[in-house]
Amino acid sequence: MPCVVNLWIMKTLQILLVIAWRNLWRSKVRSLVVIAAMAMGIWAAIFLSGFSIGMNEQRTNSALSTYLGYAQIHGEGWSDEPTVGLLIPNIEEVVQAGEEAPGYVAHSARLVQMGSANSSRGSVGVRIQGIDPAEDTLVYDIHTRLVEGEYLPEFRRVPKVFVGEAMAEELHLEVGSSFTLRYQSVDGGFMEDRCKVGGTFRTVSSAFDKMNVFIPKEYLADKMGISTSEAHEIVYRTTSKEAAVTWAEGLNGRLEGVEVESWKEVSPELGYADDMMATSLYIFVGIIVFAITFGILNTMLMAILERKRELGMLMAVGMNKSRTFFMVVLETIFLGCVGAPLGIAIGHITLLVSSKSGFDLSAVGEGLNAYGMDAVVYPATVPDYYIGISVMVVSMTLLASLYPAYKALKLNPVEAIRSA
Amino acid sequence: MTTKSNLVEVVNLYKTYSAGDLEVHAVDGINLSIGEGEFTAIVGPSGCGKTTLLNMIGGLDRPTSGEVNIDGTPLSSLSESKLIDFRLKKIGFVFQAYNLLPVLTAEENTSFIMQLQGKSKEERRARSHQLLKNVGLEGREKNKPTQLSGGQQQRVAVARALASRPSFVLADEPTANLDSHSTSNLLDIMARLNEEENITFVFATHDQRVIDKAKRVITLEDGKVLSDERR
Ligand SMILES: Nc1ncnc2c1ncn2[C@@H]1O[C@H](COP(=O)(O)OP(=O)(O)OP(=O)(O)O)[C@@H](O)[C@H]1O
Ligand SMILES: [Mg+2]
Repeated sequence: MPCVVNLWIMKTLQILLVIAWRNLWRSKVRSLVVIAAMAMGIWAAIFLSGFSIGMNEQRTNSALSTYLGYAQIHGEGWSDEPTVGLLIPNIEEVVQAGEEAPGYVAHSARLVQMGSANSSRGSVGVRIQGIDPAEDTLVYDIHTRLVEGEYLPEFRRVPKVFVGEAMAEELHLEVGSSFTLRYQSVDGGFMEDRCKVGGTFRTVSSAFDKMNVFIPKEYLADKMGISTSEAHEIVYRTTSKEAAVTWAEGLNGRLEGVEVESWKEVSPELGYADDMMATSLYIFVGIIVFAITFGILNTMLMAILERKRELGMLMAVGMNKSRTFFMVVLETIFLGCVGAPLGIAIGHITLLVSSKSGFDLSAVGEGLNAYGMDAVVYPATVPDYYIGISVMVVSMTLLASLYPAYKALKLNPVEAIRSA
Repeated sequence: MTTKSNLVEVVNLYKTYSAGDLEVHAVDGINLSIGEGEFTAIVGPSGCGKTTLLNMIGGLDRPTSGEVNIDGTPLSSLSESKLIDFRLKKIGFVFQAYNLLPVLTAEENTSFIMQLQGKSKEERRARSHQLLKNVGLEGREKNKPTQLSGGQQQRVAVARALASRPSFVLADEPTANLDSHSTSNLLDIMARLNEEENITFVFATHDQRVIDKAKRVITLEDGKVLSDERR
């Protein structure tokens, strides 16, 4: 087997390395072109990966902090039937456990109930959320999405609520307009409650904007007949989105009578998006590496053709097939493996710099805003990818070396020398 | 001077090329033996089969029929990979051109062959210096082939051919690309190595100056031995 690197190849490894390395630089321009192509391809792949991952991260984080939440706790059975009477049991204990679990940043205890909003122009189903603004703004940044009016301002008798712009449009409401909220109270009766629009918001998700109403918790508790210390749900902010997953795992099973979920359980599709992105980036990088491999293959075939006589001479004087094969493989690996670290290094530096400075895409910013993205994108460095890319480059180059090496083996020394 | 008469034994050797309908008998029934310490020239007009014969003696090419024995080993008994190893250990080669790796220095070109044999670093260094000195290239060890003249390159090739301590050296038109000064220089060196160290040389050549120096001249014509004279 010519490709087995056995002991006696090791004996001559040093000289084969020297020859392969120097051969690489015989056609300096040709080698440099291939190496540069390699470095640039990998640079582009890494930059694109970092850019899209950074952008995705930004978008996910913004979704989490605007409306999805990092993690949440409900009373057991809430996901099956979120009834008004299903309050979180032993709430002090739960709050304490949540605060003590690693990754915790802030929490907000809320009342949540399905109901409807009605105006003279129509009626929509809504999720009514009773929140304490001082607490809730530590978890969510919905208040920063204000379009008109104010975020839950002071009121006397008629509560001033915070509604999505989409809902306001549907019901033809403006800031200051009155409408009616209908929902259930704990005793089973239906409440009809007159409210005023205190302010409107717009998030990434127009579906969210259409069906969410924020109302001061104290007021809602009173109307529903629930004590203000009770809650239907506690929402959490954690140090990162990954921390939310471990935070939830740490609490699960430790608390009786509650459901603990991270954003991944609440919105699995967001997690799938991450995975899908990772996969498609690998495919993209794979295509680039694949294309470059053909450049390497071509270069090496040319080199073998040019050095036919030399290779014939080597075989004539006693260089055996495994060594000849190995020498060509080494040269190919050198060719492939100079460009890759270079590309990774440049890619990493580019990402490092731009992750601090950010990329201002305001020229196309309008389009991005529609997707709830900021005009300035902060790429992320992607160290995980470097290993993957390196493995891909090494294995593709190895593959690309086999054919030229095989070609070299098939040279007949007599013919190679005669062709002089 | 000891002489082993059966260093190279060529028995009923034939090599036939077929080019379309035409059969070329490049080597057409040759018998000869070459002993240790001989300084032999194989001569004859272009196309008479010198290179073909030399390649078969050197184990670079397989005969159509017949046998070549080197030091008692029939080459036909060796597999392709055994034959490569055999060449490495037993035979030194000097070709008309492209003898050297252009990326290696004179010293590296010489010691390379010893590295393939697994010789130690010290031994390689000492021997390649000695050999390069023997061919008059002391001080040029670190030169690459492109920094050497054609004659100097051929002398490195002779040093390289001797590096593995082969049983004999085969040289196919070693002087064909050289001017007369370089030619006589190279010949003097080889003649001296033959005299002083009893190294066996076999040349294929049409160069009269090589023929003049030879101690034995085998003349071929149409793949057959026309004459074989010792001087
Ligand atoms: N691969 C081949 N296929 C067909 N014919 C060949 C082949 N190699 C050599 N020949 C023929 O065999 C004959 C002997 O060739 P060879 O090269 O041995 O001659 P030579 O004596 O070395 O000639 P020169 O002095 O020109 O080098 C020539 O007629 C040549 O054309
Ligand atoms: Mg010839």
